Formats: sequence, structure tokens, C-alpha cells
Amino acid sequence: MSNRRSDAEELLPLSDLSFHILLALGAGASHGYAIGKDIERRSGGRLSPATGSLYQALRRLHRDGLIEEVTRPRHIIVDDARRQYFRLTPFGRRVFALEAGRLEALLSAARELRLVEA
Amino acid sequence: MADLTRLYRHWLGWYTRSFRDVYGPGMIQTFGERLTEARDAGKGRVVALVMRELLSVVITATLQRTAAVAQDVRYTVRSLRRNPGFAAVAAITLALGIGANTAIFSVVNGVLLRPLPYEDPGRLIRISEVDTRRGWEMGFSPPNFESLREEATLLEDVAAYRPTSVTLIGQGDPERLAAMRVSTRFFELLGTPLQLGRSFLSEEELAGAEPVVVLSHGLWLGRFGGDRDILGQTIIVSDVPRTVVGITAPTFTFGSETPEVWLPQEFSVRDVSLRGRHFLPVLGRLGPGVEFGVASEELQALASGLAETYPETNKNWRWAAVSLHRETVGGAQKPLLLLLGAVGFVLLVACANVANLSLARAESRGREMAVRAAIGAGRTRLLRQLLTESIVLAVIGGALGLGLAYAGTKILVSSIGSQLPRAAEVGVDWHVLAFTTLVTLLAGLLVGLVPATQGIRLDLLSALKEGGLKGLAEFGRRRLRGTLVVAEVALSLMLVIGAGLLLNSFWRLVNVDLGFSQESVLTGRVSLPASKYETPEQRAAFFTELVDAVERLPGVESVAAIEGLPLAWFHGAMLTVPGRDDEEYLLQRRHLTPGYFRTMGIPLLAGRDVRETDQAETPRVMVVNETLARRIFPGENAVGKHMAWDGPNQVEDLEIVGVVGDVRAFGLDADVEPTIYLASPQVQPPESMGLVMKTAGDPLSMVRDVRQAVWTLDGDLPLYEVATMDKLVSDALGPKRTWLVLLGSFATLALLLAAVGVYGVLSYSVSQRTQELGIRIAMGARRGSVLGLVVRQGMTLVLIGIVLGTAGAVGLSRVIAGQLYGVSATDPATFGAVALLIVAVALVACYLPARRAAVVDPTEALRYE
Repeated sequence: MSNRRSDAEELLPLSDLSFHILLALGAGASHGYAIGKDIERRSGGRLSPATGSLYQALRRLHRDGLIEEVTRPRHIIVDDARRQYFRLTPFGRRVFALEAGRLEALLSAARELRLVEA
Repeated sequence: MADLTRLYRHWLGWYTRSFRDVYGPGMIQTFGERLTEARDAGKGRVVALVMRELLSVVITATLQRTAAVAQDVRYTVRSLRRNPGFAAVAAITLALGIGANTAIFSVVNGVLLRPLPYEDPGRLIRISEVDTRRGWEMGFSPPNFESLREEATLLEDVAAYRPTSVTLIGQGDPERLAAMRVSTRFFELLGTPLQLGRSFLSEEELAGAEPVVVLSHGLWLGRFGGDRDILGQTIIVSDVPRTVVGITAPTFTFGSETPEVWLPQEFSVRDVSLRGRHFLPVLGRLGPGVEFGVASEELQALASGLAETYPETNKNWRWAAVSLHRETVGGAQKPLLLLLGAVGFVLLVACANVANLSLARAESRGREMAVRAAIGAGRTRLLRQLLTESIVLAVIGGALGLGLAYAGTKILVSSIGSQLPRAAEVGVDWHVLAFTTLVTLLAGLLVGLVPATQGIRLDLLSALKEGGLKGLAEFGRRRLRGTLVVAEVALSLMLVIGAGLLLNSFWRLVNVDLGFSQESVLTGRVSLPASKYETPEQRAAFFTELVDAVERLPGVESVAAIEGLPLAWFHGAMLTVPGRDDEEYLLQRRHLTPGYFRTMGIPLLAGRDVRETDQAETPRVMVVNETLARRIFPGENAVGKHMAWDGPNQVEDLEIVGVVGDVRAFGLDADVEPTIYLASPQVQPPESMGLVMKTAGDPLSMVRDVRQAVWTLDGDLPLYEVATMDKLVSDALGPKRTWLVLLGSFATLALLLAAVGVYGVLSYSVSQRTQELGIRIAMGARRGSVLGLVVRQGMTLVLIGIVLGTAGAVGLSRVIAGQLYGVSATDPATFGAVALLIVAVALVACYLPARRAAVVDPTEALRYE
């Protein structure tokens, strides 16, 4: 996977679900069930992907090099051997930052027009 | 719990393997944890979760599969782009095959498969009266029709119809139009409401009722400008002022000629009394839920009842019903299915050709395949790739073919439309599209499976080593290519034999002795309206005057009038011979004026022609044809004999005054029937007669003068059905010519494809054997013997194909037998000639690669590889 900026920009905008997955992985490596829980909590129940949809999105992020599979993280001691962990790649972080910046720019434009409160 | 997890694991099988292998365990784990959570929350949550998860798997798996196919297709398109020659040849070959199939199927669909364009058409039947002694199907007599209408309980509706033609005057030149006389309930029976106005009332069937008319939608738009106020107005139809009461629906039609004018079928008092005059075709509609067979039985019973009540007229008559669909399209069924079979063969030949090409390509791509296999592409994956390629080719071919078919169908309908029932209904609809899709996929599978079964049996090691797909599978593949060539030759041989047989019988038909000379003969028809020419004397006088007037025209050598021209229709008549009471003869009857035989070049064999002096008040005379004389008066002199005809008014005693040569009057391939020719002024002179004119120059240059001659006598009479006799003869051959041209084109196509196939296989074989051939030449083999070697290899396959194809053609001979005239379906001359033709074509196809083999440069060849 190339890490050039233009490659990262090509992936924008991220889908709602993808953004949430990357956000969930922001705290460190995680597995499917936990990612799902995290998304559900953070979106207030609005987003609640079924396993198939979740993994479909994970695969796309995986294929595009935004996340990678890791062997079980060291800090987790008690766990099921079958769990599959993902974490953000540096490229993924950059894409996430670009997307966040894009949203930020939109938001500040809205603030200037006083469409939202500062 | 474990059960549900196992179920989930099972569902994962719907994903592609690459996805399942990587993410499957994680998904199962996630599902398991969610399940545990849901279980704690209650049974309802578990059910909801499982449903949601199932839906999600189905959707995402389908998306993945689609994406995988798309990837295969993209790969295939890239690989075909690198080899555009192969792609173009394969796609065009398939396009020809698929296009031919689509075109013929769209005709079959429009003519045979689509239901008739009426309400609930499955319940429509056509009923006729059958003379059981002769097996002749005829129309109903008016009283019998009346009985049927009153007594048939299982039929919802019954109606009579009778094609005719009328003259329309006013607004420009008088015009002759196709028309139909129909009884009341006709439009209701077919279930097609009129666009405007009303249909006919029952009282309008009675002679003397207020005359009314219904116009076709086309005529209403064309001649009357679509004016709604036409309803209630009076127009002159064949000299009778009639009130327009209705306009038909835009697409409504019935019968082979689209009627423009619809008149009520009127029954005169005399009509109602004559049970023996059979002239009314009858339609019926089965009651709801009534089986055809049950209704037929009732008809049978009614007919027997009438036979008992009226033995004089109804003995030996029964009623026969047939579905209207069969009645309408039955005649076209066999030739159309024959053509569909023929294009099926063409497609098979095309598929064999493309399969051969693909095989050669698979072989040359052996190393690519081997490499892909070596880096882990599964066997099924490679198989899928090969199948994808052939299906992509077939789809391109199918799309091109659909375009070809669209254009082809238009040309087909415009050229043979007049010889086909329901031609206007032929077009590309979703049935046709479904058929094309099916044929395309089948062709793709057929083409793909052949190289796939072989390509997959690849020997990895030897392929990598030798750079080609050689080694173990070599023998099998060569046999496969041989089999394909044999099949191509056999299939195309069968088609060419079919075309050959049609050509042979066509040739015989063209050379049939018609019994008359059609050269420089112009024909036309004039009909007299009964209202203006009421008496027989007036009608006879008009035609006598007309013949005289035309005879005076410069450029007309001789002229006569006859009721029914050869190759057109005729009247029948039952005659008896005095003294032979038990024998009745059904004969063709034609009224004519003197000079007809001279004008048409029909030889007078004995006695005399009718004369101008044979008038209404003189003794009745007739001229008979040779067949009648021979059949009814064998070994005697027919001239001077008398026959009795139970004519329209009374029993007429007719004396034979002359015998003329036979004429093929009822079609080129029909037997000559016994015929009588009556002097037109005697015995009910006809209202409508055809003119035949022998002209000095181009017959068509006379049309204007003849028309003027008619108008000098009566300005309201159109001269119609104007044509040269040459054209009538040629038209009579029309359907045969069409079938011949179509089957001939398909046979030629198949033959060319087969020749290309033979050429391709030999070319490939020569290129593979360059080294071996080089060695042979280096060792001193003469070039001639190398040439012979290659030709022999090809011709062996061709000869096997010819043997198998001949056997197949004999097996299929029954299929075509009905379309032939004067030639047997296993005619040895045709079979032999076709085999020779195939050998000749195949020799050329073999010679070209063989010559290349013979000029192989040994030093080059040995350096090869």
C-alpha cells in the first residue's frame, strides 16, 4: 500500500461506518464484537451494524491498508484464542486525520454562517 | 447455542473463500458473543438478532460474489483486448449464430406462440361442414348456420364471416378494398370493442334492412381524415348508400387480408332456404370452462340430427371444429419449426468453431495457466476464468446478434410478410429477449466447457517446462478438435442437403408445364355492383361490351374475360351424368367469354370454344378440360356428351362442345382437377370477372388504356388486381422461394463456418507440426507427399463427417418431406451432389494449410523452438 497523500485523499470521504470503526480503533487494537459495541454506544444506537456488514467494512479498510490484523495484543491477558484483532495503520491514522480535518473545515464554515453555535 | 453458531458457520459458506478464510473465525466469534448477550435479554432478542444477521450475510455475500464475477469479467476483457483478432472472430461467429436464432425465433414467437390478439383467444374455434364422402371441408350453408346458432349450447357465441371486396367511390378515383361480411355478434365474439359507434344488429342480417357499414380504423384515418362526425353519414359502398355505424379498434384485424370495410352478412330468402350451398366460414367461442372435445361432440350430435331431419341435403355431412389459432397459423408451423431447427444447427456449428478457437488459445496460453495454477489459483478458479471468457464472448456475440436479428427480422417481415399469417405481430419482445439470453448463455457454456475440460487437465510440470500445454493431454485434445470438425461437417451437410432438396423441388416447380402461356399477358378484374347491374343480361352485356372495347385498343392482340384466373380461386359445382345417377362429380367451374383459350395459349383438343352466339336463350354448352374428359368419359369422345348441374336456379343440362388442355389452375404443385368452362351469358353470369389480355408490347404499358376503356363504359368501376400473368406465376412460387432462400442462406453460412473450422484445425496442426514436417522434408520427403499428408489428415475428418451427416439427413428426411415437390426426401442425386460440394469446399480448406506445410523450410523448422 502506498502512503502518499493523494492515495489517502482518494479514499475520502469515508463512510459513516468506516469513520466510526477507525474511531473505535483509535484507543488501540480491538476485535469485532468490541468494535460493534463501541460504535453502537458512540452513535447512541443509531449505528448498529450486523456482523456481516461490520466485517464487510473491516475488509474494505483492511484491503485499503487503513487497518491491519494483529496477533493478540500483549496487554490483554485473558481472551479467546479465536478473536481476531485489528488496529490502525499509520496510513489509516493519516486518512482519519484528513477526514476529521475535512469535517472540521465544514463545521467551521457552518459556524461562521452561524448555522451552528460555536 | 452451539446449534445457532453452527448455523452461522454454515451461512458463511455463501461468502467467497478468500473472505471466509481471513474473516470467518472473527465473524463466528463476534456472532457468538452477540448471541450470548441477546440470550440474556430474552428469547425475542435472539430471534431478532438471528434474522438480522442472516439478512446481513445474504446481502454482503451477494455483493461480494457479484464483485468477484465483475473481477473475472474485467480480467477477461483485458485478456481479450490483448488478442483482438481472436475476440472479433469468435464474437462475430457467435453473433451470426445467435442472430439467426433470434430472428427466426422472433418470427416463431410472433406467428406461432403469441396468443391471437383477441379476448381469451384459447376459446375461439373455427367450425366447418365436412363432406364425408370426399373429405372436403367447406363453409356452412345459411340454414345450417342458423341451426348451429340456435342449438349449440356449449358455444357462447357463433358468428359467420365471409371475405369479399367492395368498391368505394367519392373522394378521388373509385377504389377496390378488401372487405368482410360478418353476421351479428362477430365483434362481440372476438371480444374486441369498436373504437367508435356500434356493431351490427341482428335485424341488419335480413335482406332489405337499412344498409349499414363499419369502417376499419386505417380507412377511417386515411380516407376520412379521422373525422368523428362520419358516424351517421352515408357513403357509397359498391353502389349502395350505407350509413356508417362504427369504426373498428386501431389494431383490430381478422383473416389474411386486412379488411377495410365491414358489412353485415345479409341473408336473402333464397339463402335461408338452401341447405346445400356451403359458403359461410363460421367462428365460435367455447363457453367458459367448456372443453374443446366436449363441444366437438355436441357439434357432431347436432350435425347428425340435421342429417336425419334433412337427409336430402345433410346426409354425409358432419361438422368439424379446429382452434382458431391452429386454423390461422397451422400452415406456417412446419416450415417455421424447420427453419428454427436449421438455425439451431448453424449455432451448433458456430459454437464448435469458437470452441476450437478457444482450445487453440487455451493451448497457447498453457504457460500462463500453469503459472497461475502454480501460484495457487485453484482448479475451479481457472475453470471459472475459462467459462467467464466464453460467456463474455457469447454475451458480446449475443448483443451483436440481437442487433443483426432486429435488422434481419425487419427485412424478413417486409420480404415474406405477405406469405406469413400474423406477420405484423412479429417483433422483438421480452419473450425474444429471454430466448436470446438463454441461447447466449447456452452458447457460452457450450463453447467454454470444451476448452475448460481440457485446459483444466493441464500437466503443470510439462507445461512449465515446455512453454506450452503439451504432454499427457495432447492426444485427448487432438481427438477433441477432430470430433468438433466432424460435428461441424455433419451438421452443415444436413443443412445443405435440406437446402439442396428445396432447390431441387423449386427447380421442378419453375419448370412445371402450366398448360398456358403467361408471356405478354395482362390481367385485371372488374366487379359490377348488383344494385346497378341487376339482371343477368345486364351483367353479361357489360362484359361483352368491355371485351369488345378492349379488343379495339391498339396493342391488344386478343382479350377475354374469365371468372377465376388460373392460380387464383375457383367455384365448385356438383355435376351428374344422365344415366349414371349414383355418381356425382365435384368439378371446378369457371365462366368465360369467347377467346380465352386463344389468349392464354391453351390448346383446343377437340370440338370448339364457346361462341358469342351461346346466349342465355340458346342451349347450354360447356368446354371441359382434358382431365375431366379422361376421368368421366374414359375411352369415349367427350364432345357431344351431356352433364346435369343443379345450378343456382334450376337443373341445367349442359352439352360438352369442346375439350381443352389441362391448366395448373389451383397452384403449381396441386394436381389438375376436372374443370368446366361455361359461356358467361348462360347460367347466372358472374358479377365479377378477370380480364386477360395478350398484348403486343409490354403488358403494363396498356394498363392506362384498359382502365380508360372500363371508365368509358362506367366511370364508377375500378380496374383492380392489375398484374401481369408472369407476376401471378412468380407470386405463386413466392412462399417456396422464400423458404428456399432462407434455408439456403443458413446452409451456406453453416458450410462456410465448417470450412473455416476445417481450415483452422489444419492450420493449427501444421503450425504445431512444423518441426516434424521440416524433418520429413530434410530427410528427403517430396513436397507433394507432405501436402498429401496434411490434406489426408483433414479429409479423413471431413469424410467421417459426411458419413455421419448423411445418416443424420436420412434420419431427418421426414421433417422436410412435406415441403418438397416431385423429389424424394432421400433423393440420391441431391445427397451425392451435396457430398461432392462439401468435399470440394473441404479440399480448398485443407489445401491452403497443406501448401504452407509443403513449403516449410527445413532449416527454419529445425531451429524452431
